[in-house]
Amino acid sequence: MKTKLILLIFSALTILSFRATASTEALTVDASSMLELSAQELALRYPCCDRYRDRYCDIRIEALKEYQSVSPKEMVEAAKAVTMTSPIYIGGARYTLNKSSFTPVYTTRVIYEPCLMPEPITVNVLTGYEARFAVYGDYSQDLFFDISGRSDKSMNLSVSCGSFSGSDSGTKWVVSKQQNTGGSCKSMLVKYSFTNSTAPTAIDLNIMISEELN
Amino acid sequence: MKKLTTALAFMLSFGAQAIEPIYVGGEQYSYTMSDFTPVYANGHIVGYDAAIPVGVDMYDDFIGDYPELIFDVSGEAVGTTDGSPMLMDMSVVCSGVDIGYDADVVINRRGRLIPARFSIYNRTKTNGECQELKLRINKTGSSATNPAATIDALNVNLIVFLNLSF
Repeated sequence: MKTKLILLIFSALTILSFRATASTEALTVDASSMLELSAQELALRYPCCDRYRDRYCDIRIEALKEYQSVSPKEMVEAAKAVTMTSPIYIGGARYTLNKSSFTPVYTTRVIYEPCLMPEPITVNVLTGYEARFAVYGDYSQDLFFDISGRSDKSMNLSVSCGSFSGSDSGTKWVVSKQQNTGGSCKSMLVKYSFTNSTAPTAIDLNIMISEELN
Repeated sequence: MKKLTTALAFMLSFGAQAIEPIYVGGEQYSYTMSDFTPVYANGHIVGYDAAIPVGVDMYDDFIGDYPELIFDVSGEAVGTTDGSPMLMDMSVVCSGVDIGYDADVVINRRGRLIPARFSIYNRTKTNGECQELKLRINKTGSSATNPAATIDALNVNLIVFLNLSF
């Protein structure tokens, strides 16, 4: 009983002493003079922000925090991007396609000439090329798709494999993408399309499907 | 005879259309403008340079030889130019061994500036010589001296493959 009472008195005393120190701290800060000073003057006069000392803590520290929006971690990451000389090791499969790898795509067009002929004529015109091949080894890891090639004819290229798709047009094609297809890339379809039906003399296409090796 | 014809038919059906992959290992690098150092001539930027260390050209005990390297460089240069198209070229040299060259233009087509695209690929055995790859993108011809033709952004993907299909 006695010890409990002593403890109670002791704790009451400590609480009181804490309150007392708090009130003295409050007294040392002169609120009215603070308002008169500009923020800059305050910063110069009271540079210390140690709240356990009897000095005024600069209010502008809140403003400073806004400027420090970039975390040290982000800065390190940014520095890495600039000085990146270390390669990513890759493994995978590389496919080399040329004109003979593609099957031509023909579309039937109907030409109506009512004046000369009673029946419309149908012609088969070359509208593109197509190639499809099986892709093994997509176990839903991060994949790099790098496709580049060229031809003597301006064509539209579209490449797709599972959820991956890419396209480019012109006489040169560059498609570079990093994607996780979630294991859906099992068969790749390469398609060329063009409007005027003259055939290109050559097509060269390199397709690279690779994965990051850590 | 029947067996032979079936075998022949089997071979032909594969040979005509099958696209066989080469299994490869190697290293991939991706570069943007900040990784290149500008090349100046008469106070104007005429091109961009990058030196890339290559670590895969090493003697392979398993093969008992140096490996065959496959270089695959694809890049895009976004630029601005006045009325005339900007002529550009890209060259790749690895420790003095010429790997490849390509040229393209940045051209204004229907009000849009089409970026120049480059693709270089080559298969070669350099016997351990290829240690540092120099990648260079230049303005060429009349564009080299034209201050209105500027390169604004570069995106280059470089892969040095090792042919693993032996």
